[in-house]
Amino acid sequence: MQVLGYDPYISEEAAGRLGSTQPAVVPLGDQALTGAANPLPQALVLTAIVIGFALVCYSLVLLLRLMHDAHTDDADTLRYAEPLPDDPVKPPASPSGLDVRWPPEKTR
Amino acid sequence: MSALVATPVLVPLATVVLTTLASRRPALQQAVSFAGALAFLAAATALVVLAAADQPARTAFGSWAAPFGIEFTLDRVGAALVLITALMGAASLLFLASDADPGTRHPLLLPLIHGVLAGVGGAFSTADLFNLYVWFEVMLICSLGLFAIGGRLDQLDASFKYLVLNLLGTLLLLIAVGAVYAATGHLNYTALSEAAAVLPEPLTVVLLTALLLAFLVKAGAFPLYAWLPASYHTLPAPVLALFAGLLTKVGVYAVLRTVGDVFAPAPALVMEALGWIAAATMLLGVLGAAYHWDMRRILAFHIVSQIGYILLAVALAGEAGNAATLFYTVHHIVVKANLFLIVAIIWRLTGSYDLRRIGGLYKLRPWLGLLFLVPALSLVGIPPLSGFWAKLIVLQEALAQGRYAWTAVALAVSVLTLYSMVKIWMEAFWKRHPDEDWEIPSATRLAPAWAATGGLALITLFIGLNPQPLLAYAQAAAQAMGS
Repeated sequence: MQVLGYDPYISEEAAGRLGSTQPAVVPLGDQALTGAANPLPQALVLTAIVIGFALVCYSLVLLLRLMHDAHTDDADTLRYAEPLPDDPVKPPASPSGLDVRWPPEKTR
Repeated sequence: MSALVATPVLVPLATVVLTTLASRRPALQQAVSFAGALAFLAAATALVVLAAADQPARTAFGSWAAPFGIEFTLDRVGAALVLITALMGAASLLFLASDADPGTRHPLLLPLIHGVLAGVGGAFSTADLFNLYVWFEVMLICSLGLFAIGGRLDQLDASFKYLVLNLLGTLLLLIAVGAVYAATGHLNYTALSEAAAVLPEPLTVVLLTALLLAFLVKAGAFPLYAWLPASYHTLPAPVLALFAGLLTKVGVYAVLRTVGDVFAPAPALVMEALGWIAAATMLLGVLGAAYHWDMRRILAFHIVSQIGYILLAVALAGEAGNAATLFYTVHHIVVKANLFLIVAIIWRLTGSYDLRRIGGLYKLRPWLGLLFLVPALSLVGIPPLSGFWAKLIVLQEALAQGRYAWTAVALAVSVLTLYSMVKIWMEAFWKRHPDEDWEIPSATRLAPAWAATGGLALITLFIGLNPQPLLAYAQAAAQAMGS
């Protein structure tokens, strides 16, 4: 259930990446070649797929960790980095425990 | 020479490997990291010397001839930006040795920082559009690692937003590169610029719009800047300074390279739109900054605002505009990174980034107050600091082209920038500390932080008092562009 909140977003991104690249690049290869297949578009798409796959993997891990820590997948409640203001004029202060701790620890 | 041309990528990448191998021995890893930063600095200096002597280092990998192989070319623009990248890398790594908000000491912290440097260096040196996309991805994945490495909930939240919006930008870029290849059959800059000259103008407008949209997401320009102020303030200070200095500027460089060099002269419609985007970016960035009280968030919004100034210089086009872009970018990277670092020193001494909780520093650390004023007033554009010359050449060109609306916006934004900087100064240095029992901490390790920020402030002062060499260099760089 939790995955439902974000996964379509990410996978849509991934699908869009792969789906939209191939039509954009491959037909052109057809245009440019004379007889033999042009290997360049394939190389480009392959590079893009590999990079895209790595990013999708990373995003999945990040999401799992985020949902595990925050106990929610609702984008409206995920305001930890940018807390909502409780005053109409003044900006919110970052809540304690969600910012870097001071003083820093002695050991590195 | 062909070995030198790959150094902006090879040196940081080698450092990534070596620091990863040494990740179990922190002292060794630190030493390797410094050595890598110094080697990068030396190589970048050599590249600038070559470029300034009109012998830009270039090579085509695998000895494939120009339009087919991937080419690296370090002309004056690329070499200057690589040098400033190396400088920022060295400053951030030095600052990391202090205890002013250095973040969690994760074994992969140093490798990832060098990974970001490799991505930035590659983006500045490549002469191939698809290769540029790959370097953007290298930067993205390394910066994502640096975002999430701390593991705090707000950092995870921020890195998710950063990921989603930047992934969108990357996706757009990939589509745009595919479209450019479909239209011209080339990816190499030189071959592209020859092919672009014979493209019908409506097609050029469409291609440039797609490319610029992607680059502007990366640059943090209106209306696509939401990811930047939403995430940057969660980073530890040295990483934040590095990102603030370099990452958005790669987007700006890509815009400059596209409309100012490869597709030059770009259609008037695109430049007109870019100019208005620049004006809106300036204004909304500075208004966002005026609202906030957290020093990091104020400065993050000022990144957006200053991106507007640089884009304005790009939009003015021509030799003067391109020269102003390079000058402004170099000045801005130094100033912006330095401000974030100095703010981290303030945090170490007072205990908070929130201006409402701190104060009284001027009485105890007057030199820090002066040090802060150098980049702060330079950001505003007070003579004789470097920002004054940068703004002067941009606005001179805007007036010369009769762009009075853009000039008026730029001047108004300068005043608002002054308001933000004075706000930080008054609150952090001038007013009394709200907590009567507050005492300045005695056991701090700030020597590396003073060295890094002092060094960057000296660069700002040097450019400010002696702008002619950089200006002449930028003008020579602009002459070579678009021809």
